[in-house]
Amino acid sequence: MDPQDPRLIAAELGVSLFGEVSASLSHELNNVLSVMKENTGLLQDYLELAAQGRELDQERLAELAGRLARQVERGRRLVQRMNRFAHSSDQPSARVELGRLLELVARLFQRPAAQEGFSLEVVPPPSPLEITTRPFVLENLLWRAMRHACQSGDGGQVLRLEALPREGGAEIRLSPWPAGAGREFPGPEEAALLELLEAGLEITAHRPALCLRLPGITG
Amino acid sequence: MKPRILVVDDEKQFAETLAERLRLRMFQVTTAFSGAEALEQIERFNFDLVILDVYLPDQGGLEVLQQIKKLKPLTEVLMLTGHAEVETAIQGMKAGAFDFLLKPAESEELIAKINQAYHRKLSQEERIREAKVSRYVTSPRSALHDD
Repeated sequence: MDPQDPRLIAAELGVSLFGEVSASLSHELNNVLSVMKENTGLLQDYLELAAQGRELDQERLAELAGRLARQVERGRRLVQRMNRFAHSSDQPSARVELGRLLELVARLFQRPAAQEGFSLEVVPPPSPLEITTRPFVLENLLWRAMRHACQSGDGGQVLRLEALPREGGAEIRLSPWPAGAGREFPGPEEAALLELLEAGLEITAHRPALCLRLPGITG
Repeated sequence: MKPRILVVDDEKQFAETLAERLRLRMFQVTTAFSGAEALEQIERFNFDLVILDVYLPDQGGLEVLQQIKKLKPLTEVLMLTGHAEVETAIQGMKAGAFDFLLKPAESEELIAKINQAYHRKLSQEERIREAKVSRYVTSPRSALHDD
């Protein structure tokens, strides 16, 4: 197989994306477990003190139970996110609602963005915006674009993702796009992903943004 | 006397709950939720031990460790790490950390490490005191033979 074949490049990038996302989510889940472990440990401490004659503070116990419940909910959301991401590669091509896809990618990238001093905001489309595309390839391209923006830009900013309808398809905007970014984007890997998506890319100078133009139907 | 401990972790719930558990065991505990906050505390107060998360959003745990060792060389540091950062924790030990534990850590193991680190600090402080004193005070017998 030709090593420059975009499908081969996309497959390799896909494995890499799975690794990065898995590492990030597992770190967050480990945090949830650590908090739960300390809170259950604290509960045990209070029970031991009660066994030694100290009065149990009912309000404190209720508060600890509430904390544990919140961590369980936090863990559940992380697992849900992981599951949705895993299933995005079920079909090479599928009909997706772009607002939901952006929401998923933004939540997955939240921790890596925070490491670079960025926070993320998703602006949903005015009404549900569906296109037929390669969801996993699109997620990969967006991940790489956000990573490039965070690593090239100044921290302390909010990265905004928005999806807009356009004739014959849709547009995804990522802003602000760092001026004079060190590495040219798209590079060869991103070009391969764009080819599979049959998409166009433009960096606007005014209110700098990366604009990804997607056809209504891909593949 | 129980050691004074600084717990540094950006996961606030974790840091505060751990701090509460240590206070129940009569340790004096302060919390910090970032590298910058931790270093501010280290500059202002004397801690015997820092429990330091390897991953901090503003500065890496290793960087914070190095700063702690510059500011207060005798302060011991216990690193807490998730699985992916074991290599970083090992580097930390080479940079002067006392030990590292994987999160979530077992309480008994953590308490044991805290006590070991504290005793090491006390021993080092004692050795330094003895070295300083020995410069000025030799045995009483030698004072009688001072020619």
